[in-house]
Amino acid sequence: MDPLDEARTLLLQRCASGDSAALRTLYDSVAPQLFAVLLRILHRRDLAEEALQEVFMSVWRNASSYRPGRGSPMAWLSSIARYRALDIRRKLQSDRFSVEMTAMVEDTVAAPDTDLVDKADVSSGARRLEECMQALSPQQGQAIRLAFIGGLTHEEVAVRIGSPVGTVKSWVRRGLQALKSCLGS
Amino acid sequence: MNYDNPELLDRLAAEYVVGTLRAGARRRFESMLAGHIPLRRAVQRWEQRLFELSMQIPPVQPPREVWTSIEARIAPSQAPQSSKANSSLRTWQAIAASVAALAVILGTLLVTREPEVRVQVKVEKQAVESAHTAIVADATAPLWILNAYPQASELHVQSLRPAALAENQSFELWLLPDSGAPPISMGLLPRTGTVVLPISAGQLRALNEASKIAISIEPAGGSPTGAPTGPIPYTAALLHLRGRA
Repeated sequence: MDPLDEARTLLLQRCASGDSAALRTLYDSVAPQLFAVLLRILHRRDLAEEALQEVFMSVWRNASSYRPGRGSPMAWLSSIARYRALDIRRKLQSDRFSVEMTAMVEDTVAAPDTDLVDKADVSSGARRLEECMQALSPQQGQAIRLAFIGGLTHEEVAVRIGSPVGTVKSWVRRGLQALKSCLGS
Repeated sequence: MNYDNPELLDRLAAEYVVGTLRAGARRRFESMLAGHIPLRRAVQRWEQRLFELSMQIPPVQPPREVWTSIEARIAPSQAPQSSKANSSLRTWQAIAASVAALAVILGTLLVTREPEVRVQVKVEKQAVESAHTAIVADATAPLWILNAYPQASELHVQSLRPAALAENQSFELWLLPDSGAPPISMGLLPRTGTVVLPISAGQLRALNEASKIAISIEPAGGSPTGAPTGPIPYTAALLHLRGRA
């Protein structure tokens, strides 16, 4: 196991037995990344700060349900954060807010990070995923990034890219299937 | 919809993880997750496949108040240790409150609980081999991860990304004993890659008696005096994973 994953797994196990110092260490180690994830979906610091709090309360209460064999600690933690952000975003999604948010999504969300594949300090998992993302059609990759990183709905992706919703849906669906077979699992 | 079709389930799981299920479908899907193990597995596999996408986003330091609020909210759960003096009324209030809290927690846990205790125990055994751990981070992300393995008398230190340091300097790792005794050097930290540092019997004892570590900047090769001489840019909590020996 990756040493950082191993340490985070141990910290989660300590959290499960009520060790708040472990939660603090875990917080120091992952909060900035999770905060960035939340900000990308929520675009408002106040919402993201509140969500980050909720995420760590949920981690504290549910640490015992983390199963090391079912995925890395970061996959588990970032999923909790993303679902929390998606819930908040969907709840707040009046039409005006939605349009506002779609307009606010930065180009960086959609742009594939072409440097990433060569960066030495990214995990092998990240590199492999990036290679598979690069193998998708540009539209498929963009649609998946906008949805996954930006938290956009099919409709918002459609508005953003300027393509029909049906087309976007099939980009996402086919892109995901292609990713699955590229990643070989 | 036929929820027994594995391909359809996998597609739904993928759309759920990506976040593109419509609100109603999303809620229906979440309510199904509780009682549907294959579906939960499919979700976990998709989470594992895709999560690195959001790890590409540059980290952002949250304001200090976020942790302060979390700390304030988790504090009550530690209160029972010191609540013996409470009046029975307050105890009952506390019990009522924890029953309510438990109901909420159970509601959440139902979604993720899994009946695989045996697998879990096995993984745990393997994982707690490390007895002391620390993650040293700067304002944005972890820099080093430390794991001490007392049985092997080894301290494994991995650098996750290089920290800024001049050519003629070294990072030195110190244990800060809880007693307030002088810091104990554990050796030099790598700027990249992993090192395995031997742990002496004295250091092993000190590991059990410290809950904090510090990293100082020293002349190349380490402190000439045996005590930290340069600035201390990083400190971190040292976690005791098996309790104190």
